[in-house]
Amino acid sequence: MPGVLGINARNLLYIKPSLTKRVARILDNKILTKKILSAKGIPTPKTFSSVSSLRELTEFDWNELPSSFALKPNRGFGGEGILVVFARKKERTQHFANVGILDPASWRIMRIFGKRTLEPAWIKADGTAIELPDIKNHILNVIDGTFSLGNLPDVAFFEERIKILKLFKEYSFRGIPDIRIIVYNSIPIMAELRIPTKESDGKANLHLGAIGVGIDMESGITTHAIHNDRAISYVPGSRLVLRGIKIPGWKEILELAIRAQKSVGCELLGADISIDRDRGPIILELNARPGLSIQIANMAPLRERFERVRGLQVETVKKGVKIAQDLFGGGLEEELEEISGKKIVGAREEITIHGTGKERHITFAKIDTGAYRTSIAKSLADKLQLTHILKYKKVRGALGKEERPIIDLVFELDGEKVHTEAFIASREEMKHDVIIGRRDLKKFLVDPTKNLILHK
Amino acid sequence: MLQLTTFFTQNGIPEETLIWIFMLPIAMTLVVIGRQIVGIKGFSISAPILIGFAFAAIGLQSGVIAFVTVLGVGFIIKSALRNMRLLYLPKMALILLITAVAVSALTPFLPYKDDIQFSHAAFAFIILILSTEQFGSLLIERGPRKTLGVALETLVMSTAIFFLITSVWLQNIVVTYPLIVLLTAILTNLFLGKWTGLRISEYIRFKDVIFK
Repeated sequence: MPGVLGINARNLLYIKPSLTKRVARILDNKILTKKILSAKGIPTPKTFSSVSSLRELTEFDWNELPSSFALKPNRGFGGEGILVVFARKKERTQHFANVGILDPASWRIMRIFGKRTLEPAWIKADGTAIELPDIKNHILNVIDGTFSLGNLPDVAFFEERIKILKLFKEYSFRGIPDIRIIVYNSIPIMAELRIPTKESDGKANLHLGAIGVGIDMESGITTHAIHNDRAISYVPGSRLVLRGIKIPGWKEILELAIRAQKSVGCELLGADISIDRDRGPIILELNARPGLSIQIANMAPLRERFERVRGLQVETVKKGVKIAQDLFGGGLEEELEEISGKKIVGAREEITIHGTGKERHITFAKIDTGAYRTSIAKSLADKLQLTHILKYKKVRGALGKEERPIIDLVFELDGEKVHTEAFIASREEMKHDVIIGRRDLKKFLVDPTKNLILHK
Repeated sequence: MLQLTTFFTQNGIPEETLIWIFMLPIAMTLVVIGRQIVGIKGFSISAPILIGFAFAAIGLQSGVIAFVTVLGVGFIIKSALRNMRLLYLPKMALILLITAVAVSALTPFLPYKDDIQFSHAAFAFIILILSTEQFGSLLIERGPRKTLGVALETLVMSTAIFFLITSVWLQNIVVTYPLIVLLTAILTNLFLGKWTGLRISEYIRFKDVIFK
């Protein structure tokens, strides 16, 4: 059985047991969800005001709204029915009325035919204007239940727009990128950065045309990117590389996702988290029916990951983060090696030194980018009979000037055979018999954090 | 088994109606297989079945022409009304109304076959016209490209159902063993209700992850 999660299995095996009546009541109601999260001290976007009836709409004070907001259906799903505006268009009404170009009757006639009128207006994601009557009409459709689950009557609410992080600004078209984290059994399972495009109208929903970028669970660094379920390397229409973006505050984001899941008590959840320039990570929305494209963006199967953590006891939020990072992280290194064609080594690596004959000696070497040449301890060189001195060279060290012999040295580092000339030095006082210098590290990248846990 | 059929026919229900009623569970099962196993979306469960029966009533050729016309006219009207700022339901009623006019103008030119009972034709047209509603709401919510895909899938599904219910062989089975047919349909759906495998469409969608 393949480890990839399909819609059938998602609905029957994971959503159905997780989506109890209580959970559905919370998650299918965005305002209620936000209330519950806030009560637990979890940051969510501010709700400015809501409209639930025609009466409330006619009495609504439009001047109270800030110039930028998101208008959402309370029971909407899949990003539908969401209207995002970025700025208020300058008032033209007064000006035209004063000049007296048009009388009110003509305005009304023009409006019936959808012509540009002189109503207050806001600017949408694609740069076009949306006028007050359009927004009112949209709210009426929301109240009628056009966008709600089961087309039930609904409430429209105005929400604060997150202030975009500088890091994301160049990648995103108008909207705010968010991070979708799938949490199951209090453990983050898979994550994806979702970047709005012009096509998606400033929304971060993949099926509307947003970009999805997989994220390494351990480091919070992006890996593969997809657009409309197809692999891409750059933001469409640009040369911006999508892999290798490091999400700031990754651990904090994972913790937030787990805390959100615990507060609503839902076993499976898609948490949408955005990073506000001032407030930091914020829960935008919680989704009981997360989409499956995230598997393509991560090139990893969800079902297999679910099964690995099913039934695990996770006592604390921190533990959940750790399990996620250990189980589902990593793998990024191999990929980096693939791209750069260079191997990644840590600060301390096992090497195999070739003796004069068939002799092989295995030892740990210190990787030292501060040194130019590789050095080997005299005791070890003697033992391996590497005594044929090629030449002497003067070195300036911390201990003053010194003349050191140079020998031929062949060693293997991470499977790579390196043929070099190395110093012989007295290293009796040192922990490592060998240090490897820059000259022999051209085929490698050094990651000082690698192997750390291994040798503690 | 024939007893059930004879019971119905003796009570004045025409055999053709019986065939259609007994065909319903089979058509439904086909739609479910199409959705759960193959991954064809279609407008809803009922739409492909209704449209399939409509095709059976007026013939496949006329049916497809009428279907395409309905969707085409619906799309044009919807685009024309876009700037009018109308509420959802009245707008939908207008779309349906104008589509109905367009289709009735088309009817004299459709290539009917002689062996088709024309009494069903009126219902067939009503079904086709009303399918504009689901088409229209999809158009409003998902945009033209997605809608065209779903419309094509509905057409495929409806055509499959057309061939299913017009098959003389299957019609004989349905009339002779109605209970067995019903039972098979129930069992198949029970099985499909527990089916958690990948859909064929998902093998294509996730091919990079599965066959990496």
